[in-house]
Amino acid sequence: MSLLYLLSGSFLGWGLGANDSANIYGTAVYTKVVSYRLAVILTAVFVIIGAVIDGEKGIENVSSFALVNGITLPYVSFLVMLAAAITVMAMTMLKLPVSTSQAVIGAILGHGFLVSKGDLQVASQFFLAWILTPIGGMLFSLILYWITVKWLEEKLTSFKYFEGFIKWGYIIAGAFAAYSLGANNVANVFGVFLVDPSYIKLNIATLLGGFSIALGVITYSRPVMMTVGKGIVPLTNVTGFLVIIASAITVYIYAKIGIPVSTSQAVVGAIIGIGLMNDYRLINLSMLSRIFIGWILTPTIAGIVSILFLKIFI
Amino acid sequence: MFFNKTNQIIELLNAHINAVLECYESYTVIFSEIVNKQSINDLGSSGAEYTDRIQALEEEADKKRHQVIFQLLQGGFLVDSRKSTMRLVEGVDKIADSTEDIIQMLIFEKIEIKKFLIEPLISINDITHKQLKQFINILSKMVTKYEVNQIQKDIREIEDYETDVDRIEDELIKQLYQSSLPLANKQQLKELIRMISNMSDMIEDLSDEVEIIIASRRI
Repeated sequence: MSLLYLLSGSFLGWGLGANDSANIYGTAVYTKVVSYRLAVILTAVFVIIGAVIDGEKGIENVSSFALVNGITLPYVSFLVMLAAAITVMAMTMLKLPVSTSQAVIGAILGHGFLVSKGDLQVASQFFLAWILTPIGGMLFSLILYWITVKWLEEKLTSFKYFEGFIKWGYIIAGAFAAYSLGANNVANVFGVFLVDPSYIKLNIATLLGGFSIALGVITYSRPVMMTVGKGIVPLTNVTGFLVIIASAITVYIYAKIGIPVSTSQAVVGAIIGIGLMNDYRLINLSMLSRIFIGWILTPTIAGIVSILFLKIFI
Repeated sequence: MFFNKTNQIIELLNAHINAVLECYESYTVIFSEIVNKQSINDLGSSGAEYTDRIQALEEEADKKRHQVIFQLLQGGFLVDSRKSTMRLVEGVDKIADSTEDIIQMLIFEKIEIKKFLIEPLISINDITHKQLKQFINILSKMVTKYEVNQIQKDIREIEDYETDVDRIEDELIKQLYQSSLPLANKQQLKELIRMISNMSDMIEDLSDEVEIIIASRRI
């Protein structure tokens, strides 16, 4: 029975894989630079590798945050994660801006406030990271764009160089982005369950978390990939590649720090960076406002749902 | 693997464009030989020889085109590049088709080219030849490396050649309809002039395709 508690986390991981894999190979698959099959295989494999090798810090950080907010039992972890997963699912269905990381932190805080242990000061490290994520994506894309123009623009005029650069560039960038996604976001999947070390071991949590995300990638990423790919099409092949690398670096840095962040928001930031350097029309104010709304709405709704669940089931 | 296929396609593309150039150059020689005869009826057996020669060259170009398309379908290029390459190959091949059509029209329909048409038509062929060579030069730059401003200058030159051809064509048609030739002959010659000039338009269209490729490769 107790192992079934992990289902809520796995469900969230599945949804995360289905949604966020689009940020990795969406553009490449939509423009047919990389086949869907190869994209799925690479994403699934590198998500698991990233989760296992670099996911521990984030998991420890989220579980510490859960402990601070008074979560100590696997059953409570299950309810908190269920609240986060349902929030993500409902907001996705309602086409509202949503981030898994923000939903998890919001749901944990919900429990914290319910038991009068909610600590906004500890939570501020997460809030700050959310704000800095799109800014990081933007800065890295600015730097990468500058490097590309300075060092590669001339080389890219060669047909063979261009073809090889785009093909292998997307494959390698996507693998790195998948690694970063696994390393950073595995904390969202099972981090809360680590409040009780006897319930699940850290290495098992990273492995299972990675598998949950990979399962979402394998089973349900195609429709999202096509939608996201289409959405980013105004970018050229080269800038599309730069966006993936810039967002992957941002997410990877947060994996090293141990704070789960939104890959989608890193992508939006990176697109804005390219827009600043290249074509200001790429800067979509509605995307920016959706991020801002998401910062407020996602943790608030997840927190309320979490409180409701805990009130009903405990 | 990916680079092997890319290299193979590039080799085949070179072979195709060279076959089309050879076809075009033979066409200009045959055309000059035909129009410089006193009468089309003086051709004798060389008429059949000309059509056979140009047909063989067109078939060779066509064979190369099939090889390029077959190789493209095996992969190697990115999908976007594959589509634009196919359009380029089809477009270049139409030039070879046109040369065959023109020689066959001249010989099968026994068209007498009037003196006032000969020199301008040969100069259209000369300009188109320069245009085709310039286009090949652009393509070879695209495979290796290019400076964007320079290649755009090269494309403008192709457009200028096309403008020159247009000007000669318009003048020729005007002169043709001012002549005392029967209307049927005028119509037939007008059709021939259009076909000869049209090759220049085709090359200009191909250079537009190149511009699209350049734009898609910009950062």
